[in-house]
Amino acid sequence: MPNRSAEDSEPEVRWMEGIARGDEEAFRKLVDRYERQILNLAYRYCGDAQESRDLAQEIFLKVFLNAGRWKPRARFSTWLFRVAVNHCLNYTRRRAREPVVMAKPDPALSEAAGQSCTAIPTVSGGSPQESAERQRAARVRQAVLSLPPRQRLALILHRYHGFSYRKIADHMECSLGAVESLLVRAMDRLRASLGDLVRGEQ
Amino acid sequence: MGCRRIQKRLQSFLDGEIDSVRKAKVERHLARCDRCRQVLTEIENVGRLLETYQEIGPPPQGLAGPVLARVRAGSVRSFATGSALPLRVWLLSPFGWATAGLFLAGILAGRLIATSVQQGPDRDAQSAYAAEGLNLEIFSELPPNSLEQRYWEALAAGQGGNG
Repeated sequence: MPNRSAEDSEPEVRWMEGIARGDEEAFRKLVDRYERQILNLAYRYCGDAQESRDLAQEIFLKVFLNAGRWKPRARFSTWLFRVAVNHCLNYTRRRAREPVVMAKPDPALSEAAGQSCTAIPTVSGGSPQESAERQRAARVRQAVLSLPPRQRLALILHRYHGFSYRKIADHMECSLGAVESLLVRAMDRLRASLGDLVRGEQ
Repeated sequence: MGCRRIQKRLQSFLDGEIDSVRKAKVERHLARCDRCRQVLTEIENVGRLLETYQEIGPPPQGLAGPVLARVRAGSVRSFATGSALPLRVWLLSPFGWATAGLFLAGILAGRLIATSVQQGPDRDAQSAYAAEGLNLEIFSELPPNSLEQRYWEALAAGQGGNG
């Protein structure tokens, strides 16, 4: 039995037992502890605040509904992040199957805007320096969102959640070598897409 | 190690996720390679830029309330079991294996039948059989002196079937 006694001391084990019996208070405590992490994993993965709330809710819904089947063989957080990772990947697959409705660009509007559709929108208000910073942040965000799903997830788990390669491998159910490879490829892409910012910022 | 291999190690080097032997190799290489030092700097800069992708806060009422509301609404069954069983569940269950076995058996049987039809007498041989009258009518002739032949002969002679 792997570390059963140590795992039993986690409050999450008690909470999950309570949730399996329908204890809503236990569920509130569990969500309260993890909602910021799960919400921001979803947010940095999909890039949309409202959509990330929906994703996070669905992830916690899965936790609630599967509490009775959960066994404390590994840390609760490992299981939770596995659920979250799989849910994010499924979200991308679901989105890929949805038909994309694209509005026909209006030539007059494009000319009036004087910029291509892919340009980062300028943000009004604030000093020029603040505006530049916002534009830079928008480019970084777009670069992260352009990464392939698994590279994006590995990067998010590493950079924003501070997980070790071993933990990322556990969460993503892959090898250590695969994690390293995902991160190296993600960084290569980011260096390429943020080229001028990367070389200019010393 | 060459530059390409070194550059693949730079991320784990920065993250402290590299063993001491490889770390020493990377350090030796960096000491004499301007290009790889530049790449290292760029990776560090990407790391700093990533900090601008800031987090968001949970909604004021939290996430638990809306989730519990959905549970109470009872429209959540598909999340518990999924509308279709995942492939892993199918592979692990005896039912899944039995279904797969039946499916394969069906395919094999179909293939065998198709093969035997294809490997049957060719067209010339079939014509020869037809010329010799070798067709299904041979089964209409009863073996000589058989019980059934005597029955039919008796019937034809008007002696009835109970003689």
